[in-house]
Amino acid sequence: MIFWSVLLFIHMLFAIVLLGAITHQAVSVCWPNRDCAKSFVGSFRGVNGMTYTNAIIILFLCTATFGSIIYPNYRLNVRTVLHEFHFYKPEGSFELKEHAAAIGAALLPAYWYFWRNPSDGNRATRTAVTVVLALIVWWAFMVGHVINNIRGFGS
Amino acid sequence: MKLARLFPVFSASFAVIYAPALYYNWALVTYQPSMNEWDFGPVTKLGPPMFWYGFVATSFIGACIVTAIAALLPDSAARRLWSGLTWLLPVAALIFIAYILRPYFLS
Repeated sequence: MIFWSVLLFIHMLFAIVLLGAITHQAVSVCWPNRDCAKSFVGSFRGVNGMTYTNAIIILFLCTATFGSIIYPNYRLNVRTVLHEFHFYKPEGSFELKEHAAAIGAALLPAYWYFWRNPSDGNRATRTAVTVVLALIVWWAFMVGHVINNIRGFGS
Repeated sequence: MKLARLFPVFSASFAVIYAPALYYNWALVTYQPSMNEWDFGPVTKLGPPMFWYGFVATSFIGACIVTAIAALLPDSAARRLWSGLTWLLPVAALIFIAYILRPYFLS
């Protein structure tokens, strides 16, 4: 049980770093800091999104890999409990998370392509792909956090 | 056509294949966690089956085939495709998946 808890913890740590990185990039591409404001919010928006791309891809793949390794344990020891106690909404939310994560992982090649060749022509698509990926990561993180609170680390 | 230009095709087609794969249960493989066994196709044995790996495998192979077909198209035909499909199709697939999963949220 300690082994699975450690893997879950590593999965969560990767997810936290990924969440920060993708949020920075999504905010910077949606709301760029054109006037170089030095405030906290301005600095948050003012990052160079391009430098985050490869790190986000690696973090997403690491998070998804750890998630897919611990997934059978969830299926046997967590989902059955959720079902038994009629926690259908968390169970359904996790179902959506796993499918969103798969589609998000498949979106990474396109994400890499549009960030590798950033231009005004593909700005709208690049922004939309980044925002979709950010929303997937946020959804996955929130649901994972809720499921962990119900029956996760150390249980 | 450069290989990288096909990446958006792969991403969009993966999502388009994934949604019906889930709906019709086109899992290429099934993992039986209680027995630590893998089976070809959607198979239910003792304990809860896991089709997710199978959906990913089906969609990955399907997306590779679609991408290979797209590679045969001339550049001019590829340029006519709207790049917005890259995010619009995954979003549509996710909305469809949420619709499939609605019993969880309505019960």
